[in-house]
Amino acid sequence: MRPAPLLRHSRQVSYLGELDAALTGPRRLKRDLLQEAADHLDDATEALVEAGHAPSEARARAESDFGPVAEVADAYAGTLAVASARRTVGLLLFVLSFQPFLWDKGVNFGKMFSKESPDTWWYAVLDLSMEIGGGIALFGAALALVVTGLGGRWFPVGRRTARAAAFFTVAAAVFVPLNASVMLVSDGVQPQLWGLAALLMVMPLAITVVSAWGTIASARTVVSEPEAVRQQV
Amino acid sequence: MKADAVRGHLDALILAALEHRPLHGYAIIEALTARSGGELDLPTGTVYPALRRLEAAGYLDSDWSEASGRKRRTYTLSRAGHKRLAAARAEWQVFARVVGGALGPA
Repeated sequence: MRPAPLLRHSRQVSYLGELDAALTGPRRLKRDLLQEAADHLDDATEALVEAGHAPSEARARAESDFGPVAEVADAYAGTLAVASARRTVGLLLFVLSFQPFLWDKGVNFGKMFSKESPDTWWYAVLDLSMEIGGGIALFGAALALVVTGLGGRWFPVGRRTARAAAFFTVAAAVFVPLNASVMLVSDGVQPQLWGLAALLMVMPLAITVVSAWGTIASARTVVSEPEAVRQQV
Repeated sequence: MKADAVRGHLDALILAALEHRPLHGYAIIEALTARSGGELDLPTGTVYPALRRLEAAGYLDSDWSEASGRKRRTYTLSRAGHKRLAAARAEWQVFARVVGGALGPA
């Protein structure tokens, strides 16, 4: 069941608007977190009004109890960054998992369109680096997926973990197509294979890089607001 | 009790609040306040990221549901959450015994 439309009181719009502006990350999770905050402020305000406070005073007290926007946003940013990192490494794992099937085993576009691979030591090194680098990228993505989920049972998983997962994704998404491109050039391939590589490898990995930048943005430290301003409310 | 003193134990406190029944965020905070006799002094907004962290770790399940005439996100303790709560209680008892013994009158 999805939540009701967000934000009910204009004053909450102001508080939650500040919170909204301070956060970046997966839209659905951010909307859910803000909706929960709105619900909480509604409940707290109602309880305080029932306890005898004036409505405006009750709302101000509810917001004050909820915490300064900077402090709450800082806590929420970790949640959003980890969720974003999980989505990013999930995407990387998905994209990488079908690459061996496309280019080596299975469909094997490489064999379909290329001439004979050069029988040289440097081509063997490229081939080996693709095997090892690709394997590390796949294993790392799977590991990061576990760490950003159940990892929280054993150690703190926060913005630092999210940032590490994002940088790993960028490294993997640059290494794999770069290594593959050098191999394709060496193979003396036909143009169709470049098109397929762009469509099935470079573009999906470019999407993971965009997602990784989003994660890095989510993990960025939230700018502190002046404490005194919030506490005056 | 100040926020810094509570933060290290917040996860266990949340799990304990959810031990017997599913609750939405505000009700969890009310339960924490009631259980502490009003001594917990924590920005309530920071409880929600903790709930999401516990959910990601598999200790809680959550879903949007109807409660008191409104749609709210309701949290339930999972089987792993029950085990974690039991372990946290055992750890706390050892901690309290050791520190209590050391700080108690000679």
